[in-house]
Amino acid sequence: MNNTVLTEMQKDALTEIFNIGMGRAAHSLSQMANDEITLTVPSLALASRKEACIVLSKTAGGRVCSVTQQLKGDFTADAILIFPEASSLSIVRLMVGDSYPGNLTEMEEEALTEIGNIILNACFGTLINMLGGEYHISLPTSKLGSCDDILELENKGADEIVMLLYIDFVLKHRTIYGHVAILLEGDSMPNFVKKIQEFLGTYN
Amino acid sequence: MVQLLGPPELQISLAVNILRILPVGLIVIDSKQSVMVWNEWMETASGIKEEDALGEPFASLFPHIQYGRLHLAILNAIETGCPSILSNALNNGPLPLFFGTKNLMQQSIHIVPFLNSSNERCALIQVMDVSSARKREETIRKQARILDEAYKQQNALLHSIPDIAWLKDVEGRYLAVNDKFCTIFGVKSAEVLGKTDQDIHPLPMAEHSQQTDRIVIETRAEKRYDESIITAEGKTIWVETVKVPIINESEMIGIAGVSRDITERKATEERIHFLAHYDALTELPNRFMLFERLDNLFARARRDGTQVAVFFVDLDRFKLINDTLGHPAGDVLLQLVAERLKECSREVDIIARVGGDEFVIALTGIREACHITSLAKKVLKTIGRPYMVHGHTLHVTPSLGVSIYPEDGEDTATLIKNADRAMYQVKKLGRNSYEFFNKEMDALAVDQLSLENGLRFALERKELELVYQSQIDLKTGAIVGAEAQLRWNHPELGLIMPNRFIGILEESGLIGPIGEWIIYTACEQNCKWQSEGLPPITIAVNLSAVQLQQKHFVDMLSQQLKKTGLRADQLDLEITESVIMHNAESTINILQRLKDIGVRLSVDDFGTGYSSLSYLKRFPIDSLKIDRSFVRDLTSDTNDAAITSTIIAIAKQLNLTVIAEGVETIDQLNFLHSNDCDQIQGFYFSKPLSADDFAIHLKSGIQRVPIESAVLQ
Repeated sequence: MNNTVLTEMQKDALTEIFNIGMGRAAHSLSQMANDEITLTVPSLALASRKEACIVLSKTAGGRVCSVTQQLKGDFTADAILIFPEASSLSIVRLMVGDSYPGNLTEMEEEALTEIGNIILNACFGTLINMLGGEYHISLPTSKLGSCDDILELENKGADEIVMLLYIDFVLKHRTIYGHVAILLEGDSMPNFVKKIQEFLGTYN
Repeated sequence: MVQLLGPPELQISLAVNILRILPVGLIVIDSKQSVMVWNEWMETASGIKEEDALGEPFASLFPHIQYGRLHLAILNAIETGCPSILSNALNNGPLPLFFGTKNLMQQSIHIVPFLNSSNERCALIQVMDVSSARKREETIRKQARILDEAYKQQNALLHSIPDIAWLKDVEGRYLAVNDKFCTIFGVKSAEVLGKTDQDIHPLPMAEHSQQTDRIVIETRAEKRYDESIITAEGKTIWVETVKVPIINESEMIGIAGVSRDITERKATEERIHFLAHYDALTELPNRFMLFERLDNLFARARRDGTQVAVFFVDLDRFKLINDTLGHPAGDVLLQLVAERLKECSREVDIIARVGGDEFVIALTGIREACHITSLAKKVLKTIGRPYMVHGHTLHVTPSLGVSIYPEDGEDTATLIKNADRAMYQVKKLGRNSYEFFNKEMDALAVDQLSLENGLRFALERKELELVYQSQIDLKTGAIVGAEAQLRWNHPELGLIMPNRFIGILEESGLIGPIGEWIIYTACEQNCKWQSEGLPPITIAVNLSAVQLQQKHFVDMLSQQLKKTGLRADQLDLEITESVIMHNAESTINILQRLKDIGVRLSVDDFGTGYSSLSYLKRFPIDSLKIDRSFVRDLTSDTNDAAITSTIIAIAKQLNLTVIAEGVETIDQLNFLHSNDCDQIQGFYFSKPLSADDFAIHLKSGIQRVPIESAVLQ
């Protein structure tokens, strides 16, 4: 993995930012689920899109559920929340408080999109708060498919750098693992790194 | 992106009008959360007019949203520019926008931030009515729940079956298995689902299962069969399997199967099969099995042109052992006999027990007749060896009858019947021997059956008659006695001599009533003659061995004497030598009791058996009757002459009267007279006569002059 793009300090800072965001997301989700939910980002890693696909396929399995939101501004990025298909069902049904067999229904898919929306908004919110700047953020869309489909491996550069966040999603004493992949497009990475460095600079 | 044309004022007006009429709720709020756009849909849904809403803080129109999810999402949009989705499923409790109790619509809300021309962040709130979608989904959920319950019920049903049960799809993949399935095959339900038989079972078992699956799929019909399966413990068990096609709207969708453990039933069936084909006591094939195997044997012999010998083996006097030592001892003896029969024969020969003490041996591969006789001799010798049973040493001898395929019959039943007849002949001739079947026996046997039937009614139909043959004192020439002989006037066959039916009488038990009748009639007749003034004589009556064994024979006899009033010493009971010598000890006892009553006792057919002189001395007998076979050849056979004179000498020594039977010629008479014989009986003087004729005969004294001269010279 190419970790040289970000220094350890930058990575620590980002992990911290995302953890603050997760705290806010967990608060929202807990209120909605009427049960305590904790969300943490224990680690952050950088990888090529191709490597990311391999890693995600290994941990999330063949079919995954994804919620994507795009951010455009000083840098452009797709943020994709990825859950294994079975986990996505568990999360929705634990949140909605219902249990019956079968695939995700339309309403449930919408609910999953909202959950993803809350988590991704939290990531974006804290990121924007910390880094500053004006951005346009799209509404979330959900998609079911293989990791390759979700990360659009075929359409986009296989060597582009992807930022992977591992997320522990603890709900009703069950830990469900998910990932957030942040795909910075084209020349966005240098701008993004610059923004982080500026943010760190304000503290130094 | 929609492009509107025309001057800006018109564009705005157009855009606002489009927003106003869109069939979703549209609200635009500015950075201070005041309502800037409120479309017609919102007017209708909320009942708040556009003019009342515009410029108002959004929160004041819906006070309940304070700090709720919607409120936070609006703040998130305006403050950080993040759009939000409020799904119906997660925001279902208190509706995001409460439109009054009359309009509890299911909503889904999108909040999208945007910058206005003054670069202030505003938010577009889009409200969608998803009630119908929600309702549709609830219906789907309800159906799903019903399906789920059905699935659970199906599983519960499956698990409640105490037999091995499963469901498979048409590709042979397991859809469900029950607990019993898992226990028997040592698998977990989760491991099996989606797998095929080949993944679970040993190959031959899997192939068999798949083969029957195919049949069920092809025929679309239930299939039921017994099979052996191997359990997880490596045990082979028998199961009865039923496979049923699962058909949904004429489409074959799978197979349901149940296997019931029938190991125990199988064992019982095998036991039943054994009991049906084998004799439980000796474990030899029984009659049924024998017939089955003999049928095959004869069929093969017919093809090969070979012979088969059928031996019918009956144990002599087995009944006596059963009666005296009890059935358990009898059973042990039969088992030992069965063992010895096995010793005698080869593996290929068939030995079966066909009745109480009856066995059949079938001998194959005969090259010479001596094979048959040597087996017969071997059986006689082996079975004749003493047995130790319950501490008793037992002697038992067999009687063997032999019939040969194809000479003596072509089918099993005939051959066994004929061997039986030959065996019967052995019994008649003194037992402990063997005899080959011949055609005369067959005729005799047919006779016997009809004779036995006839005998049952002979008494009441008065077909039986006694005739009397005189016994002459050789010294005085006087008639001193008469032997009563039985005759049967058969309505169709005419006169029948007793040698043809005595055996039947003994076997059928008719000897009881008929024997009693003989004694009574003879005694009564003797009295009658005396009352008619004829000279007193003794009347001789033949006793059979069976009569002697009768429990109350002695009592019966004394009763008859009392009834008729005959003096006891005027009744002479003739008992054959072989009867006396067999069971000598018990016979002595009975004879003694008879003697105590006062009747005379004679040994009949003397010389044919193997009398022991020491026994003879102990018997309380009065006379010996020399068998007619010696008398017949007296004058031509020096042996017979010697035997006869010896018998007479012994009798004198023992102080017994000697009577010679079957005297027909003057030469015989002369020989007997010169050898000091006491009395004679035979055609030379008189044939047996009816009671009336005998009365005349007795009255007139000796008719035949030659005897006068012979005796009185």
